Amino acid sequence: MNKDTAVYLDSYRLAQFAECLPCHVCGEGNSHEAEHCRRCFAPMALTHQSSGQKQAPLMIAALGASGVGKTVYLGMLLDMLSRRSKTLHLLTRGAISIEMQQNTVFALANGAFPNKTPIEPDRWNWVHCQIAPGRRRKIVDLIIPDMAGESMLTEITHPHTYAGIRPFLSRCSGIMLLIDPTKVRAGHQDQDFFSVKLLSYLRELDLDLKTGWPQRPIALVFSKADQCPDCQDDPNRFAERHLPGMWRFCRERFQRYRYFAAGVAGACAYRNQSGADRVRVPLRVEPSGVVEPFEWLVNELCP
Amino acid sequence: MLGEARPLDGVPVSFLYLLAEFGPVFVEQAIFTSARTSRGSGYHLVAASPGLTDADARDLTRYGPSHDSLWESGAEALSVNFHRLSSGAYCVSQTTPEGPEYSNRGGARIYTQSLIVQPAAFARFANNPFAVLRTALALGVMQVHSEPPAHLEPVELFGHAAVIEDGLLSSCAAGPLRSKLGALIDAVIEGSSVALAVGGDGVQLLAAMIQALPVECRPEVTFSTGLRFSPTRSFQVCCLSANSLENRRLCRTYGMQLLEMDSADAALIQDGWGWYVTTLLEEGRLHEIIPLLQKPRPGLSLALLHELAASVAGGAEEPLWVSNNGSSGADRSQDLNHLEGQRIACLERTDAPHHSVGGVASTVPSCSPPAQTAEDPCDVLSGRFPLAVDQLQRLEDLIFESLAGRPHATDNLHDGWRRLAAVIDRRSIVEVRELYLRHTLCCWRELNDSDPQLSQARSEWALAILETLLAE
Repeated sequence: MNKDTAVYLDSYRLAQFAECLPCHVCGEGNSHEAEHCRRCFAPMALTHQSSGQKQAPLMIAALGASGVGKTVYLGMLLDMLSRRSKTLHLLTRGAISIEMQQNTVFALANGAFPNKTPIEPDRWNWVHCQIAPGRRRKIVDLIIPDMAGESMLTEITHPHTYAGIRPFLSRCSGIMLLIDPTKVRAGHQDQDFFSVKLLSYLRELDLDLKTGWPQRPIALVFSKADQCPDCQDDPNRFAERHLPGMWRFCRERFQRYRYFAAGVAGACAYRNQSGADRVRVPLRVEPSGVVEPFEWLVNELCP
Repeated sequence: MLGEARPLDGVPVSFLYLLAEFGPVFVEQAIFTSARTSRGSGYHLVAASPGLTDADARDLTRYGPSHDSLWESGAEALSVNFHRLSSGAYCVSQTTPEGPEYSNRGGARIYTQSLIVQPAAFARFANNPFAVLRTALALGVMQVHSEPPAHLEPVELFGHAAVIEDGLLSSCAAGPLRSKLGALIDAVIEGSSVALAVGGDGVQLLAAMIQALPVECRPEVTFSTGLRFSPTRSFQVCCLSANSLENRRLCRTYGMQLLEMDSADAALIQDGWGWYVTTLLEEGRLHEIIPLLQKPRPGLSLALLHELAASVAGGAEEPLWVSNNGSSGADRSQDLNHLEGQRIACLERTDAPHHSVGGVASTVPSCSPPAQTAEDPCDVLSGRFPLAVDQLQRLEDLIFESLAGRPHATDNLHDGWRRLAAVIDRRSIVEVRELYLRHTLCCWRELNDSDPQLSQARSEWALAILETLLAE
């Protein structure tokens, strides 16, 4: 009597590598064991985490010029949402999603701001989280990267320098555009120029009036409102008065947008480090208006 | 050359020769750092000389290191970097920490000064990036600006560099550096990406490796001596820190070959260039290397070095190194860019040899012709022209190599077609030509299917092949 046994061919283990794994952000094919996408350098963990879901995660971008406070805002936002138990509760997915929150909270707790975000895309922090919007049963999956501001500007002025930004923004469902009100109030116009450039770039990505950027929600957030009380009282009025180009552009080109004012540090000061280095430090952590822009955005995306 | 002077427009030829050999060369320069300028704020190209093209500016931005990009901390940290640009020029850059970040966010400002050197000027310095940088530093052109200037002017570099500089190779003749040098040379020739974790000897080893290569092959090796590894910066050789765990993770993730001082390396390729150089160093025959490297070989590339070593070590006559017909240095650099892109594309392909299964080495697949098919001209014609089988096979190989992007293949193709036509009767030339045209299209489609990234360049190469086949 023959006893047949089943022996798996070693080559069968390689079968999975015959098929490429498309990156969730840019769609480029990658090997199953790749850590980063070879085109956009987004973590392939996002693709693995999203692959088994019926509904693909939505993508939200937090954009702004260099130094506007994107990392601090996002880190504080994640920390606040993760501690909530009732409305708009957040659960992170994957270890990579906690890194930005951890770095931000650790830095603030030690009386400092987190380090500057590098411009290399493989060093950006990516967050994959699930939002439970309160009473609604439907849980929303979100992917939010923390991109360097100068990379955005470089991509706008020299397209295709960073291969992942354009496909990512094309697939984004909404954005939070952060603006530094202290520079605006000081008379610097680069915030206005950057915002108009960015919004023009977004609009040109998809002009469809029903599904394109003219219809996608945009939260315009004045990020350092604690140092600029004017914008806290009436952000809309502040934008109209100090950012006329951006204000007019939004009014004429976009259907769903809203102005917000947010702050993380209650007050800031300068500290002298070794030599003549001066470093800006937070005197206390006093978040205000941090959750509202995100809450509005989620409600717009998931009515 | 310095014999009887013959006036040329009133200027002696000997003087013109001296001027061409030792006169100044102008190189473009650029500064990439964090600053607030009219172009923007943060890390960007803050200043550049007028001759920098947009494509090169984009390349410099892509390669530009930003915050915390040096793996060494402290004010003395330094990285010397070398890579090619889209225009065909070469970039030799120096990255250092210079002062605080302008936005008061802590950490050092990373400051990169880049020199954009055209191939002809690069050849004046024996294609040695370290020689270019040393000359620039000696002339004081590498200045750190606390406030970046609005405009930069091209810089003048004088002099030239010897093919071999005294002391560097001999310093690697003894001790463990010799074996590391051989292993590094072999890895570079094989096309592998190399992580060099040898501590403070990394720069010395890298500089010695550059000098151990023939001048024509040196521009093919891109490197960085002090930057953290990033896949956005595709350097072939990266000097890394002593963090063994992190280095192994990088090598595992990105398919790099790790060379560590304390670990044993794979055996050198027998009769290869690395073995030949280390043998000469071991036997104290350094003086034999100098004339070997000084001999001009316009068509030589890294991939042919093992062949050169085998012929020289065996005492045989060297093969004829045919250069690209009428190619300038920029064409050569463009070809290198194509090969580099092919190297990276091959390593990143989803069906590339997998690193963690079966110990398959992550090397560039050789540009070998496809298996013979029933439609191959050699199969069809060998029966009718038995004396021309070698020419038929050779022509098929040249067509495939041309479409795969090997730089000298297109030039040899004209010669190969001429040799074949000489042994074929004129009435059969039309049929033979048609068969080879079909074969060219078949190879073109097959290569595009397997590697679509080079399809545009491959179309140009295919047109060159068709032009050769259709010429009378």
